[in-house]
Amino acid sequence: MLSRFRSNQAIGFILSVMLVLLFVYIWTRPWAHREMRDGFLLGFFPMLGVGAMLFCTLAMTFDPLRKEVPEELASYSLYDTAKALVMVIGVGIYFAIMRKIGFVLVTPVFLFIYMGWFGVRPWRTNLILAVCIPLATYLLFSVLGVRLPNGILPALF
Amino acid sequence: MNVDAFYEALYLVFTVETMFWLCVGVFLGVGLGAIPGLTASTGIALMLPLSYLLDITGTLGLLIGLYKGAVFGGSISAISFGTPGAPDSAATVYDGYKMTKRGKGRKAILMALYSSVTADLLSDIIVILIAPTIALLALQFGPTERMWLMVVAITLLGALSGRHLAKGLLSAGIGLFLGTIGTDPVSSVPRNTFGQVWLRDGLHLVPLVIGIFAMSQMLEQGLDVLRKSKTVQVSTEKLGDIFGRKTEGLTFREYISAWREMGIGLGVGTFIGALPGLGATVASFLSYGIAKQAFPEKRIGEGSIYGIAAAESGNNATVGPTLVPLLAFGIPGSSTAALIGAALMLQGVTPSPRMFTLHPEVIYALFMILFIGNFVNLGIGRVLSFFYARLGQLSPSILVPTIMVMAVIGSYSARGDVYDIYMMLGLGFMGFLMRRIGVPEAPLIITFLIAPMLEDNLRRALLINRGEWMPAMFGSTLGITMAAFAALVIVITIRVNVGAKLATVGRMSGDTAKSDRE
Repeated sequence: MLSRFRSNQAIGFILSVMLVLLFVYIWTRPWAHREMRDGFLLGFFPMLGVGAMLFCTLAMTFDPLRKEVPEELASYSLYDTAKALVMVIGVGIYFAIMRKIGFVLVTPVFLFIYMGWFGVRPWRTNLILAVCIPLATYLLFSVLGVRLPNGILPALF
Repeated sequence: MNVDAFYEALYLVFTVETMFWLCVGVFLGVGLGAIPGLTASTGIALMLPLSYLLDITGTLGLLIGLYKGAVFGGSISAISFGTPGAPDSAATVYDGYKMTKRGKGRKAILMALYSSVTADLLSDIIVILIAPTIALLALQFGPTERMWLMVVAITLLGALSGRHLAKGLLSAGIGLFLGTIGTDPVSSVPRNTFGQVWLRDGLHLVPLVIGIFAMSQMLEQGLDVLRKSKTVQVSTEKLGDIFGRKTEGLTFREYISAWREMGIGLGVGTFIGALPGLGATVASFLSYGIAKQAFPEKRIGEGSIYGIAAAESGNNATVGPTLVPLLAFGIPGSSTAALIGAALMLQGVTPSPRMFTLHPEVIYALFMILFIGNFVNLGIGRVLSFFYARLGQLSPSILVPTIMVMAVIGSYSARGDVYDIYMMLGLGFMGFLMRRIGVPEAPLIITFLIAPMLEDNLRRALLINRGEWMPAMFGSTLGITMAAFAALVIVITIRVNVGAKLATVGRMSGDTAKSDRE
């Protein structure tokens, strides 16, 4: 039962529904029907892109490989996808704080948490790496002339 | 030959800065290749923002050096631990790891290095000889022919980049759609921005590339770490014993005796490298398979230097030729070529056949860097293989968060735009989902790059033919031939499913390699 929802057919169907909605969204935008000076519709290529995707997802729903479960998906659960999403959100939060507080102050915390999550032990090694890697990165990028966010650091000294 | 441009290229390439970045590129590339799970594409994507800081030859030195180094570097962990650093080196596991277990690891790595450099060097010479001739032919193409050529390239990529044609073409469709976000390439009118002002400039290349190639891979690796399903198999023997100077090296006679296998690798790799969609993994397995069939007396597969020579020359011989479609037609044939093309575009040089006349000094410089890169690869590989073998043991638990930080810095430092980071993260998650459902990422990035050119050429063809679609699309014999060829590729792929067969060969070989390891 579960594998049926992971099959190419199910994936193709879900994507097709999403693409139909996207196509309708573009079709209903006024810019899509605006004619350019060369007589070309502004929305032609975006709609061609969505149309091409839709054709492919429909093909996934009906072609001979429709019942197959993608190899990479077979061993993954929704829980794994949620974990990946948490990782992405964590990186987003790290960046938002890093911009305000500064690279050198926030990156060690981020690395310490993520390396701890990924199982780097003992904690002392984790801490040393979490401090040394951002410092080395900051130095390297400074030498290269890339300015990383300093945040509140200049105000502290 | 433009002598002035040649001298200018000499002046640009033979500087301390260019040589330094070429060495850095090879140094990083061999290291990236040696670490299982990191590929040349990930490395080039992460290094792409540096092209804002470097001049064009420095950028080319860094990226081409990295590419050459990474393709060879994969063999180090394949030989040392039986775990290929990248799929390109999976065929090397059969013989390489068996040799390591017999205490001949040093000999195996030297054979991998010499055969890689030999085939890479010779294939670069072939590229230098043929690319200008093909570009001259391409200059004769009109907008109709150029448009159909792009369609052929997209079709080939979709057909050959995975086992499911619909998914390959879906990836190309996503690239085409993403390429239309921003402004219309002809009249610069905003479109497809979802009402967001910050999307008016379109999706920027650097966050797209870093998201799709680096962040998505790190998410996958991060999950693997959490699941503990993928661990670097550490050899029971001490690395010092395997690669110590007292262990058996490679004699000149042994190296020369593998000329047939290197020749097979050179031929197969050069041909496959120049075709869009296939790449180093297929070249490596095909060369290995042909050599094994052709020379049964050499006992390839049982721990023979000849198997390593065939596989490694096969994958490295694709490095130069993969740039041929990019230079001759302006159409990248692989994700790595697309990234190198992107770096050229960031430097203000658009890859196309006109590049040979507009920027001949860049072409000469690129050829020189391709050529010199082999000697740098040889030197760094020869001296630092032992160090890189240790690097292959570096834990992904440390690497994944570190590379995530690099991905954030790389995306941010390119333009200093906050939206680039969120775009990179969103595209990274999309890339992760694409990997999960088996949609290849190479057609996406290539179609994204050529989408504006495709639109531009179609509209030019329509303008020339006063808005008449039929003559614009099928107004020349060459255009009709290319359209028929694209249709034929799709029909053949559906009936014979070449991509599936190639993927099956790769998977079966991978399984065999795994069982060999165990």
